[in-house]
Amino acid sequence: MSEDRPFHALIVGNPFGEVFPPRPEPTIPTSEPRAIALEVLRGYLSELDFSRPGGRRESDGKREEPIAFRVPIENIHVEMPDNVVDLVHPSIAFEEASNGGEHEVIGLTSYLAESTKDKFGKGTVLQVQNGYVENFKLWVFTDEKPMRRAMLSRLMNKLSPTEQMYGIRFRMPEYYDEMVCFTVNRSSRPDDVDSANRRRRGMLEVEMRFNMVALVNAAEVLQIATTVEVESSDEDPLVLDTRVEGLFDPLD
Amino acid sequence: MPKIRPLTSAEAKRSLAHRLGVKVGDKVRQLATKFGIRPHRCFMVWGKWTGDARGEGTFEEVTRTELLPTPRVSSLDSVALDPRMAGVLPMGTIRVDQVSVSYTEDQLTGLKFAGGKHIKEPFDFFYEIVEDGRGDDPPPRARFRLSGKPFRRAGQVDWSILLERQSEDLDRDGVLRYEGDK
Repeated sequence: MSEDRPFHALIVGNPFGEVFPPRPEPTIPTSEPRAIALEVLRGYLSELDFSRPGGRRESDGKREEPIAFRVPIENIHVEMPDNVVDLVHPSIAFEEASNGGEHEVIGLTSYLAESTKDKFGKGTVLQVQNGYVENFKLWVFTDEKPMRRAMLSRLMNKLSPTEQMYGIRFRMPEYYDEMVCFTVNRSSRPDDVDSANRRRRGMLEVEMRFNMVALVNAAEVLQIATTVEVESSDEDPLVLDTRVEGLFDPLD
Repeated sequence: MPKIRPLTSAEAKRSLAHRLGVKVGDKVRQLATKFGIRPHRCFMVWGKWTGDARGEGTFEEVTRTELLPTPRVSSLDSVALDPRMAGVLPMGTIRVDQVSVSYTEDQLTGLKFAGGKHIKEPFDFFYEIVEDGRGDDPPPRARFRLSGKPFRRAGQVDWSILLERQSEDLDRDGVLRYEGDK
């Protein structure tokens, strides 16, 4: 028992396992996987090209080329930004689901992904703990209607791939290369008083799904096989007479 | 005793209050500007989008008219910086009064501007409050919309208007730009 952690000694059983000789935890996470997954999506969205309708030429009334634009990564927010950040148009923000994320059980207990043995450190392996599922809201902030329409249309397209089913998948290099999947489930364009003040919003409800894992120490079990040689004789089998005089003899 | 009847429009224009408002009131209010106690300039801006609807193409300013003499902008601090999911947004309403009675209601509501020209759809009209340059130079611009009917206060010989904060502000050089435009 560590003297500086007396409450650890009160834990019933050994839920986190131990290896011998003892080793410290291989790593202590500095961010939660939800934020890491959304940062990946944030980066992806900042690389998307959008376009809104162009004007009309005065000379012949023909439509000009669409106006291309991107949303700078500084204007895409994983969580509500601090007070020093101004809302500029266009912006994107992710809002957590009202009931948070579900932690879905995988099997009766956690299991070890043996393919990850020693991949993230010698003597370690990834333990898959549960599946995380959340239906968060992806908000789009624009001032004018054409920009809102352009952004929603493009986002719905680029989150619905052609050659994969059920959403777009990303690797998360910051989270043990685990995979996260995003699927668009719903869209809306809520209009209120703010809309007339050129503060329009569009919303996509997006399902995010990934496995929650932990990097744990692991010791390899050594299998020892014992071979027994038996010599078989041609003679009659030897019967040991174990009868004792005076005791019950079942052979009688 | 005068006969109980309304004034004709010609009589209303020649009334003491209206004439004093234009000839004397404006000159007296200009003194306030001269003394430096009217730091917030107020403009009416008319513009047009080059596309088929507002937000299509680019925004072009057609004309802007500054309210002169500089009116009194009160309670600019009532514009709150409201935290939202994607950052802070200025929200709120201000009152602008001591606006000269030389302006008409049609002008103050943006229906027509000096010269009486008409802008076809998709037009845009808004108010802009800009500091007079005593602080930041160039100063930031703040866009507002008319949130109530302009009120002619005959006794004070001025107009009083209510403005509500709106987006998107023009850049300091007066151009509407979006971050990320290529």
